[in-house]
Amino acid sequence: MSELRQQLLILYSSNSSPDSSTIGYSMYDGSSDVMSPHEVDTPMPYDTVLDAMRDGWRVIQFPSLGRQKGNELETDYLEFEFVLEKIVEKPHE
Amino acid sequence: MNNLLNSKEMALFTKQGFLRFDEMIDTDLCKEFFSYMENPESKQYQPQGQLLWDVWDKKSSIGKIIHHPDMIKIIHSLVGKKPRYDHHFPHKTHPGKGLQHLHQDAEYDRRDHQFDIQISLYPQDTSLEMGGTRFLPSSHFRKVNEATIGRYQHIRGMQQMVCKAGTVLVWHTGLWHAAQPNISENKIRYMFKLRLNPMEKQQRLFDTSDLNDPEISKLLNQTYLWHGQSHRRELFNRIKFWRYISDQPDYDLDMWMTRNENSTHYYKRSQVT
Repeated sequence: MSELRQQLLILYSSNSSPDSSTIGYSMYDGSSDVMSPHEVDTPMPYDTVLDAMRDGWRVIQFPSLGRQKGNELETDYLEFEFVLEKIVEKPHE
Repeated sequence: MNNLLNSKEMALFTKQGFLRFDEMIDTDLCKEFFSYMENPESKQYQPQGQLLWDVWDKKSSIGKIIHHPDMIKIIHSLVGKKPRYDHHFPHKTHPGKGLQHLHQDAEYDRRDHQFDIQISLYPQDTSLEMGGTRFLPSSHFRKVNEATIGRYQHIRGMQQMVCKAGTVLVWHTGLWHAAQPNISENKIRYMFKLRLNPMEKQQRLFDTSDLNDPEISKLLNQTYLWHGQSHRRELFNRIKFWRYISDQPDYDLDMWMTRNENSTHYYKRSQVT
């Protein structure tokens, strides 16, 4: 019987469009016991969210738009965070 | 040698949120400093709120480092001549340890332009595998809540300290950063951290003789890929900060603030025909 696990890929885009360029990413892999190291100069896994979708990743969260009135000029978190998933079989040990 | 940082160096600090000084402390003093780093008593905070210059004996290794001419130059230029000791910590990270989530130390600091600094000293050669501090240049104006950014792993332009012994990183306490894991086989990583508060207005504390150098506006205008769509807003942050620390209330880049401040007449509806 297969055991399915979720992989999460979080892509940060330069604007709200899924075809805008990727400025950052995080990877959380539920099929592996190994936590990926956080090297600072790794290449982005995909140039855009759309490229990831074309490679089989499913978007499960889209960034919402707009900032609270009066805070339009504030800067804080990365604004355009797309959460994507793949469901994969857990590798045999 | 000038005994203050110049305006271009301060513009660089404004842009990126840190300054790096490679091999600033000589290796003999670094070696001497290890006896301090290894002493368990070095982990005890000194009484907080003291004038920095009174905290450690000038003849001790830590005292010699604090009173090093280049260290004084940095401290005077950023937080003034009467810096207040906030806290310090000697970090010692064994192989297999050390991974931190990305975070901001001073999210509770709601001052607009005044800022504390942290000084990180790497007293030994620090390789990539030993896991020196990683940090995100130009993140210092983004107020976030401590490690709420912990899920951010890779952001374009991130850097990690890989350096020779005696290197000093001086950074704005808003800079996003984290320790990297020590994945070396058998090297313990050491890093000494010191936080300082200003006790005077942080305006024109540096050498302003080059304040009109055109290089300054070029530096302040430079983009970071990771800012993406918020680049203009980051320029606003920099302009406001630079206006404050250089005491030039009308300073601007490409009229960004000037446009925003051009509050003209508001006509009553009855006046509009």
